[in-house]
Amino acid sequence: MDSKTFQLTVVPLYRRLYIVARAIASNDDDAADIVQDTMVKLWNVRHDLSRVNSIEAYAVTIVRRCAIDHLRRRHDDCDVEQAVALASEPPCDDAAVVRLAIATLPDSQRRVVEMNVYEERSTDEIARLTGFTPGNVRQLLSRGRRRIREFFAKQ
Amino acid sequence: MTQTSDINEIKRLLALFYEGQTTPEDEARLTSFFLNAEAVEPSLEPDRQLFVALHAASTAEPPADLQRRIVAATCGKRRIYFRYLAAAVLAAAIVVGALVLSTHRTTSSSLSESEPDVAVVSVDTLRRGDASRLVAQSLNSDTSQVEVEIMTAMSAHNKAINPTYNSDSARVVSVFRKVDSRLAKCFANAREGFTSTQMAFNRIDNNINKITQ
Repeated sequence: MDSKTFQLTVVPLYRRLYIVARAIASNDDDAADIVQDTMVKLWNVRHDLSRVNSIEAYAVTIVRRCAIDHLRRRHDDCDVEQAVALASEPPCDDAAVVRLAIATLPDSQRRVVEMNVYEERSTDEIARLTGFTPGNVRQLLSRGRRRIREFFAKQ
Repeated sequence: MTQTSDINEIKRLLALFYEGQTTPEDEARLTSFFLNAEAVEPSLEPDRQLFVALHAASTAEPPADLQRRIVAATCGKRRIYFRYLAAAVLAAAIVVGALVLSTHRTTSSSLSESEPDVAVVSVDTLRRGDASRLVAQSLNSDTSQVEVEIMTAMSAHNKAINPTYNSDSARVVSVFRKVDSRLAKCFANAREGFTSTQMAFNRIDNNINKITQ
């Protein structure tokens, strides 16, 4: 992939990547740094990107890893869930509240709900990417959404 | 369709949503309904908050300069790197020229010997036209102005060391002053170029550190 193709096909993904990064990072600046780091990593492997089935799916995977690494660096002694909880600012707007609600879900529910909300993936896509059956994905989505609704009902 | 049947349809879709059974189209319809609803019945208020918040979280707006930063750190990197590098090389040559001229002025008791003009050689070896254009771009100044500055300084320097001027020492001193003035301007531009270059290198170093961490 040459420079011009990269600019036309990969750079425009930054908005989608920012949404994914912002869901994990503790603030806007960190999310922007994470997206920039992700783009640099993609740039460094640009010659191999033509062999990737979906550059967007690949980029989302990279940005998630970058965001989690970023949190780990900030909280060396914590596991990811603790780091997410520690990094979360006191919720001050609707988006922050729902991010916090999603971050506190059990792992499988959180993973499925995040893929649905931030990555806008369908049930079948999530099933394919996670290895769960479509029925399992629907069940996890159902439980996750009910818990988030309870979170809002208590606010 | 009446308002009541609208609400009933929303409630039916909500039930499907909480069962994980909705399609993306169903979810888009629910989102649209709750974003546009001025008020909903109390039992739907948590649902309204949920859909408004999910929409806000899934449409987070990146900082305005993020795209520019990404381009600068990836596909635009070489161009910027080359521009600053060219500015740095030209600036270094001008500084060398200034130092040589300064030494020449203080150590030469006589200007009768025609010595090799190191400053001119240094600048000439730089493909002056291209380098001047790049420096002008990096400093946001007029290309021809930079070129004129360098050419005038070189011309004045040539005249200063030319034996035909030796008979007129006052004129030599005057020409030297002009050379100093021109080179001072070039030197000021060069310093600016160095600062920009240093900042560019720092940014590149930071990016490399981030990648290798």
